[in-house]
Amino acid sequence: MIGIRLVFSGLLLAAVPAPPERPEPAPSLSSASIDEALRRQWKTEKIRPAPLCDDATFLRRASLDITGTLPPPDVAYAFIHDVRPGKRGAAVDSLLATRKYTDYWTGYWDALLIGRATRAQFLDRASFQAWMYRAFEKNTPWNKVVADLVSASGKNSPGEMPRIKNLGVSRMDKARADELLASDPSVNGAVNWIIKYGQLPQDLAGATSKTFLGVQIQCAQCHDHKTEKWTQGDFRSFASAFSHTKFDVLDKERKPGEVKRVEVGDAQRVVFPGARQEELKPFLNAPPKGLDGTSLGGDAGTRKALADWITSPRNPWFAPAIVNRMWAHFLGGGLLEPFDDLPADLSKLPPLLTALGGEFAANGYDLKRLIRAICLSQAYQRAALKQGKEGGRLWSAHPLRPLRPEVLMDALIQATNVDALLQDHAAERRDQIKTQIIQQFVFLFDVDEEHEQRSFEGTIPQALLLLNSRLTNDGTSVIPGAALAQVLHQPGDDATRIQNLYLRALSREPTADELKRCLAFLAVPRSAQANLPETRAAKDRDGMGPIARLAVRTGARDAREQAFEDIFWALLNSSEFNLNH
Amino acid sequence: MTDRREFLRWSLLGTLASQFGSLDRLGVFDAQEGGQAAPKAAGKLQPKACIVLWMNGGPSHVDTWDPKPGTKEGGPFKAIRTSVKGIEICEHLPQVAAQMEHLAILRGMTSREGNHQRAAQLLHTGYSPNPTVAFPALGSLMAEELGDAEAELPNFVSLAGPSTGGGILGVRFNPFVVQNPLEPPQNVALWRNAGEARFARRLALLGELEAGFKGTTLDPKVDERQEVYRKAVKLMRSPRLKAFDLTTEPESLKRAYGTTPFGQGCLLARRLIENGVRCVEVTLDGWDTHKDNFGRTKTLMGTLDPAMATLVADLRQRDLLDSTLVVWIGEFGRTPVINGDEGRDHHPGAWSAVLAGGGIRGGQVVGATDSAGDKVVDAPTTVPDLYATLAATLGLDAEKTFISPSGRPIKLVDKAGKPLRQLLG
Repeated sequence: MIGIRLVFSGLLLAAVPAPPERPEPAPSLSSASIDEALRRQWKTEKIRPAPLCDDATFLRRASLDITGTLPPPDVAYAFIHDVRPGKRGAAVDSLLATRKYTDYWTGYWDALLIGRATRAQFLDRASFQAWMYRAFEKNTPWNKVVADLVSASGKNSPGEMPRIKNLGVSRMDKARADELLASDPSVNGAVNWIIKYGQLPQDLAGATSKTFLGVQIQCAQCHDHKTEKWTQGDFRSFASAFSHTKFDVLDKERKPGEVKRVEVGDAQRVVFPGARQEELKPFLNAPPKGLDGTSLGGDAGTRKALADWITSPRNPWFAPAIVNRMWAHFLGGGLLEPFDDLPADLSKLPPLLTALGGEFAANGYDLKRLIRAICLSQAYQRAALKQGKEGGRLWSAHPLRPLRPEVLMDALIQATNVDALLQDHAAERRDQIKTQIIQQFVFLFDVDEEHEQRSFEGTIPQALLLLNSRLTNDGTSVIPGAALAQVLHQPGDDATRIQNLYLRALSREPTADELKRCLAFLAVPRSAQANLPETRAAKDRDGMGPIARLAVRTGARDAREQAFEDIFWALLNSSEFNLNH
Repeated sequence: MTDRREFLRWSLLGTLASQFGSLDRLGVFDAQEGGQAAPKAAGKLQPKACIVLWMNGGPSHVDTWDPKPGTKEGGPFKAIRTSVKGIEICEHLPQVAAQMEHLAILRGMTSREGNHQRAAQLLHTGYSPNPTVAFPALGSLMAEELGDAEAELPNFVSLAGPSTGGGILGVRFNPFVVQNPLEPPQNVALWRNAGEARFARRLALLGELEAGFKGTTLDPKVDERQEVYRKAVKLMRSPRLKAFDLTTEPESLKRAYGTTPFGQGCLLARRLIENGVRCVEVTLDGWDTHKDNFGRTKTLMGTLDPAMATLVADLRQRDLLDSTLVVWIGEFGRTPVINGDEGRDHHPGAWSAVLAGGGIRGGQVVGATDSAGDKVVDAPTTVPDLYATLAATLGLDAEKTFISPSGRPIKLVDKAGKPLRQLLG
């Protein structure tokens, strides 16, 4: 693979004198080191950074990035009007302490590691998610999480678990994770990731290297890497580290609709399924080695040796890989892009990435601490103001980023309060309906990963969903219990109501001009439209049938209420709502 | 079946929309244009179109296009003569057999991908999957290379299947997916309580919000997103949306295609091609016949036969066959060996593909398998070879190079692919 790396940060940062040798004791992992590096860089490059973003923008941005959800309107209001110093740090801490943080990052890693899995017969996704859930709940050090995944052994499932096909849409919450983890101590949900690649050791090795080391060694699968030093032999030796993994199927009989139980372990011999296949032999029979040539033995302990090598403090790729991934998540692009394509020669890393990686490792591979450092840095807190063509270079302004599909869906459901409606009016079908809605979003808004996007990437079906779907239309209708009805029935005048709608949708108060325009829109005399019955009740593929029927029965009573619906609809269709900024 | 009221509402929207154009500040709701733009580069030939019949699951070659009657592996089906002397296919494809002079059967197809997902990627893109590059689907390539960027209908439509996306070309070349060909596409009709006037009002409000946000960010991404909205609204208003409405087709023709979702999907494919869509993929699912291969394959052929035969005949009658390439493919073939469940398993080593129209030379078989259908013994054809042939037929430049986001040059067709000269007219 020819990697024309976008070292837009790296080369530039490299021009700065190398940072001093790491002092002892371990340097703290904080935003100060990020700020210092970027401040010098902006000065050298004569970049005028955008001003800091306002409080409302900061809270919305951090909530979406840390927990995947919008700040509730009352929280946003309180934060905006909070005059205490240090409130941003306090907000980040409280977001990191929520269950939503655990929910969100479980989903993030489930999507990345399992994704649209195919081996549904043997893959117990719920047990995998429960395992991941516990790791994020306990803020398990990242080196331990990865070592446990790579060397995972044990049973995949407690048995009698439903198969989940195709789209990974089921979600994990604390109650379910606790229940699953308590049900059978011999289950190690982590093995499901290994099982996903049960017939493709070369893909397991490629995913391991790319995801945890940021090294695209799989490019050397068919031939030596074109621009890096990796050879086909390097890839084969790395892949071979999985060749002693064994899979014992415990449920031999047919289990329609259920996940079969499999025990994953390690053998002295090369036993990976398909080891006798001609084309897999080169991968499975090479001497197992780490990417730097470290021998990993060649027996039942090889996978453990691999896990130790990957997560060793001496492994130069491990910490930068996760730091760059997290940087990309929070800042819309890695310190080096593509963020998961680090060079073989690590002297080419941007010094800030090297330094942050070192600090992350020295501070116990603590993800929450890394997130705190990034979110409180000056870089993260810039306004999304793109001044000039080159504007925003080196994180001098915050980039506009589309919301991840599940985040957008949650934001719509949260803003409209549709979840509570489902709870009240379709409790027994709520999970099924939400799954239907999620499936649509994952299908329509699927983005592979969060690589830097220079332009807006969107599709017509996405726009059509936001324009015409029952979720964005019935969801913005006046239905008792839904968001707009709550706003309309609160005491106060129309200005207050507009303010509440803005807080719900955009997590900020309207400007004076916006308020004026909205009030003028409400004041235009027009006749009310009848609430029409559904013409497509039989086709309930989007799951919104129960809500739509409610909207028909209740709905806006007059032209003024309909004008409020129009404003709410427009807010949810806006770029400000649909992008993280 | 189709809801006439919905279609009526679409067309109403189209005619009334222009009255509200002035309310829209960002041009989302621009003035109504009359119909589809003429093909770009007037004076040149209209670019070709393609209909992919995707046989999801991996269809058995021995039980369809490459019969082995009288052998242990051949199964219970007989072979029948076709309209071309010397070519025989399965007895359960009699209508297709009568169209054989327009068809070319590639009996020497071979690949190394025996996993559904990987093989589906390979057949949809012409490249084996590679975790570092998202190769674009054939339909995405056609949309990008041959499509009209301002067309009201999407250039690539997938009926009843997800197909594969635009990959390195970008999501705007993803297929427009219609899950059920018997229903209008999702979310194209206005919400029931949004009349045209109210929808225009809403768009105007949205335009104000967008202008405000653009003012605070100065980021062109806001305009780019508005551009997607503009095209979505253009689609909603397009008179060509009627292409999705099969109610105006004669009952006899609908019956001829078969009243199955696949049959009606093939009819819809023809209508979409007539309206300027460059590539339509129609999925027929269920070919993963590890169990009860013969019962299930026979049923599937009962769906396939009238649909495919009528599609070829219908295109021909409308003078569209020479400009429309029909491609019948699935992930792989199935084992000649019949397993203990009367099924056949995955067999990437030898299988068949079928091409018709688009100017290819029909009435021939290219390649051959051994007496059991196990190995290719003549004219082995790889998927890159197939793609080189498709490119040559459709007028795509196989040598054209795209640059992936990671900077890797990607040729439109894998450089290992060599077109099958005997098919090219």
